[in-house]
Amino acid sequence: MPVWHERTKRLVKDGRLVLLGVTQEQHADRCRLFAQWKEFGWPILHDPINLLKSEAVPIVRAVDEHGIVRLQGTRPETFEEDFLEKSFIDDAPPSEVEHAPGVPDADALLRSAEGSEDADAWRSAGDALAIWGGIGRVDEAVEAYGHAVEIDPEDKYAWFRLGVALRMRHESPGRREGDFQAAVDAWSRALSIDPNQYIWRRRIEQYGPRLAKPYPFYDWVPQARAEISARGETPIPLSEEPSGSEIAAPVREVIVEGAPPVNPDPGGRINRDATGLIEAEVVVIPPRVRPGEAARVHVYFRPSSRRPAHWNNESTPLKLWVSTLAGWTVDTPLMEAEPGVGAESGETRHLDFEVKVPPSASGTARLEAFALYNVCEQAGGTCLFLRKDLTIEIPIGSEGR
Amino acid sequence: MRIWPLALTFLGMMHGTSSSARADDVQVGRRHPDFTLPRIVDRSPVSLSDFRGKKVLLIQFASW
Repeated sequence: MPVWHERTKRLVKDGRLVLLGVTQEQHADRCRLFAQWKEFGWPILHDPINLLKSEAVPIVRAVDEHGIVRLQGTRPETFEEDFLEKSFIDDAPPSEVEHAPGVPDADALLRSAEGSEDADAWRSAGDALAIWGGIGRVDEAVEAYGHAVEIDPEDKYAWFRLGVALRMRHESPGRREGDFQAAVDAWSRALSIDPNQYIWRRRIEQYGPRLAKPYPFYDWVPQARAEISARGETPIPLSEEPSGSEIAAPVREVIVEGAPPVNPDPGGRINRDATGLIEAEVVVIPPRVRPGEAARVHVYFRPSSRRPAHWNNESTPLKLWVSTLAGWTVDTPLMEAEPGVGAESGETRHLDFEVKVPPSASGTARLEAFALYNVCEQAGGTCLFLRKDLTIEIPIGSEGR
Repeated sequence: MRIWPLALTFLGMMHGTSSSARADDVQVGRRHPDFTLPRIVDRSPVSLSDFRGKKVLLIQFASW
């Protein structure tokens, strides 16, 4: 969009043109940072659920004074001549597909959906809740979309949007175990119904294996921050820092870099976290991996919600070791998480790695892994160095359902 | 932001034609369906119809 931004600056300033952006990504604040970096002054709207049902971006449309689409896929070089300098008359019938303008009344939509077998009604309620309800109503959004897909299992839009709402909840304090995997499952289900939806596909690729990536998604963030800071401005803070697969460059082959790492507890002598001070959650993308292809495995660690446990940041950082099966490739068998802020902290820690499945694999493969960490039983309490064993299950078969 | 090959193909297909991302919803010569979405800066609602009477360049994109 920088090309259009530069090209239309003068026209916008002179009042001859309105530039209106719609971003089709999960996180609005990342687009805000991008807009700050590129100094976009024009309004940008957030459409995380793909309400506009676009199959791919970028899409550029010229809409005249009457709201009629005059150009699609227009080019900056010919745009003024083809659109701005022309006069148009109102020669189109009213749109057959009218989205009601204004903020929808989520409660009214919920009331009309309640007790109904109308998937559209439930999806509309979910849309209103997901876009306008904030994180406080994300549970209701998940539930509404859940009703929609239960009534109509072929409702691809409801499946995609269910995934968006689940991912939103995964990043919120109200996260539930399994939300992220369920989001990926829902996105995969949507794609299995309509494989031509590239915006949906990008949502999975954002968190998926590097082998399936078209490009690194958010690798521009450090440069943006540096340049914004150099201008004397404060970069827009991000609620969810892009990491791992979101910034990793695509590869043609899974590469194990450097010398082979050493198992940090080969004899299994470190005491186990028997009381579950730290909880772990594993997400595999795609949910089913084809033989010969790769998966991205995300592992989340967080202090138990049932115990007043905290990370101890004054000792060695969290490590994750993954044992490789014969014929498999794990790109980073030993990983280390960034420590938290302060002596003790309670944040969720995230590590992700890539695994290449051999062509002969079938069924469900099980990778053995373990984490080593320093955890305190409570703030100011006893701190321990513990091990948690994990079995990472990787279903092998066709992608999707 | 990058334009990936598929999108280029897609845009190439659209250029100069009346096809669209959703041919049944948006077509050249037809009124663009109205919509309301929140601004990324402050979540305030904005509708396409707020700009009726002005020429609008509507750009759908992503920062990735």
